[in-house]
Amino acid sequence: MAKEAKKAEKAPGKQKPAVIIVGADKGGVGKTTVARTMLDYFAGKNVLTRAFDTESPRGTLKRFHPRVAEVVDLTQVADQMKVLDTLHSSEVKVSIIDVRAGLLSRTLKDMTDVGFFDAVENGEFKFALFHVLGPSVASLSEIDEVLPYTENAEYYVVKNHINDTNFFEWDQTTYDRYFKKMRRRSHEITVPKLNEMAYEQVEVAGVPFVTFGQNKNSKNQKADYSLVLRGYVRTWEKAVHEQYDAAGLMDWATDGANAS
Amino acid sequence: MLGKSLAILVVSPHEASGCTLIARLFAEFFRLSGDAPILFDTDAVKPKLSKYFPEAELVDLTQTKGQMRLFDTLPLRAHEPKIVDVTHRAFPTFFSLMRDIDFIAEARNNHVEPVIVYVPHYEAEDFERGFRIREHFGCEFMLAENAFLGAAPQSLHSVNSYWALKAHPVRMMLPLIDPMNMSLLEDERVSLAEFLKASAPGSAAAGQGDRTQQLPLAYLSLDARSKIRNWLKPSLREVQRVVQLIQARLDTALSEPQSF
Repeated sequence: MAKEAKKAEKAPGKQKPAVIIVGADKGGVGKTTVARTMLDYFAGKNVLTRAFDTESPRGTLKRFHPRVAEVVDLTQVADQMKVLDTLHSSEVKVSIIDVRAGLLSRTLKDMTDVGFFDAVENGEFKFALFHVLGPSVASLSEIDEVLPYTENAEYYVVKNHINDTNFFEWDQTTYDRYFKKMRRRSHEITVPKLNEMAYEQVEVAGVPFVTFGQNKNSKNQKADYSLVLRGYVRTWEKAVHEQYDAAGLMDWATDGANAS
Repeated sequence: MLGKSLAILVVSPHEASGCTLIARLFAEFFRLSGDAPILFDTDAVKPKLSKYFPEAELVDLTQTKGQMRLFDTLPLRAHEPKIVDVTHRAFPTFFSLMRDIDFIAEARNNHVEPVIVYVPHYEAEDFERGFRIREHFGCEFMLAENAFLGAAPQSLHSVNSYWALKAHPVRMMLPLIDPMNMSLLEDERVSLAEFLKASAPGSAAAGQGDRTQQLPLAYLSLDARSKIRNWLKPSLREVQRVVQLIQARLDTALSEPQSF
C-alpha cells in the first residue's frame, strides 16, 4: 500500500508543489544571483517554474527573468495569498521566492503564521530553503535562526564566491560549531567566482545567464557579446548546475518524475 | 563572398621548440603569397613574434582584456589568415580558454577554420599531450617536427601517441639549420621574406653594387647567406605544402602557389 502511494506520488501530473525560498538576512550575499541560476537550471531541464521577487517595487530578479518572475510584497496579505493560495491550482509546480535582504526571518515567521509549515508537515507542499551565506560570522549566526523552519524541509547552505568572497572570518572551529548542528540534513552548495567583467556584462545585458551564454538579447535575437565572457558565464553556470544536480535538487523538486 | 579562412594556432608546451620560428614562417609564407596575415603574440613575458612583426598584436592571456582581444577577434570572418604564436608560457591558459569558451564551434560558425600546429619536443609527455589535444578539439591538426631538436629517441618508439601523431595525415618537418645561422635568423631586424626576395641570384637588388649593403643580413658572407637561403627555401616550400594540404582538406581556395 505504501509502495503504491509512493508510486502515485511520482506519477506525472501528481507532482507535489515545491516552494524554494532563496534568502539571507544579510544583504549583498548574492541571493538574486542564486535564484537566477536556479531559474536557468529548471528551464534547462524543461521544468516550468514561477518566481516571486520580493524586492518590491524594483525587482532585480524580474529584470532578468520578466516572463516568469513577479514582484510581490510578502509583508502584505494580498501578496501572500497570491503566492501561497495558488500553489495547488497553478500548473507550474515549482515556485522560487527570492526574499529581499533582511526579510528572511520575518518571511519565515509570516509563513508560519499563515500555516504554511503545517501544510508542509502534512505533506501538501514541499519546501526547500536556500540560505545564502556571506563571509561574516554574523551570516553564520543566521543559521540558528532559520534552523527551526527546516524541520521538514531541504536545507541548502549556499556559500557564494561569485564576488571572490573568501569567507575570511570563518575559522574552522566556528565553521564546525554551526555546521555540525545540521550536517545530517543540509546540502552545501558552493557558487564559484565568476569573472568580474563577465558578471558586469550580464548585468548590463539584463538577460538570464543562459541567454547571455547563447549570445541572445532579451528579445531572443542574436547579440554581440564577447565570446570569452560568454564562455566564462557558461562554464561558471555549468559548475553551479552540477552542484544542484549533485545535491539532488531536480529529483526533489519534481518527485523524480522529470529526472533524466 | 568570403570563403573559409584559416586561424593557424602554432603551439608548443616547451620552450626552445621552434614554435615562434614556425609561426614566423607561416606569416612570411602568407606575405609572399600576397596576403596580409593577422598576427598575435601570446607571450607577454618574453614577446618574440611581435618583435619580428611590429604589426603583430601582443596579448596577455592572464588578463581578461587580452583574452577577449584574442578570442573575440580570431573567430571573426575575414579573408586574411590569422596566425597565433602560443609559446609554452601561454600554452595551458590558451587551451583551457579554448575549451571553456567552445572556440572551435564559434569559429566554424563564422567560417573560420582553426588549425592547431603542434610543435613537440621528442618526449613521451609532449606526444601524449598533443594526442589529447587533437582528440579533444577535433579541428584540423598538424604535427610540426623541428629537425633542429634532433631525432626521436628509441624510448619514444614504445609510446602509442608518438605513432598516432606520426601517422597523422598532415605533418611538417622543419629542415635542419646549423646553430650559427639559426642565431642569425633570430635577428629581429631580419625579414625572412625580404631576405629571400632580395638575395635571390639575379634579383634587381642583388645586382646593384652598393645597395646590397642595405639588404637584410648584408654583412654576412655570400656563403653564409647562401646557407640561410638554402634552409629558408625548403622551409617555405614545406609550409606551402602543408597549407595547401589543409586548404584542400577543408575545400577552401588554395593560396597562390609560389616557387621558392
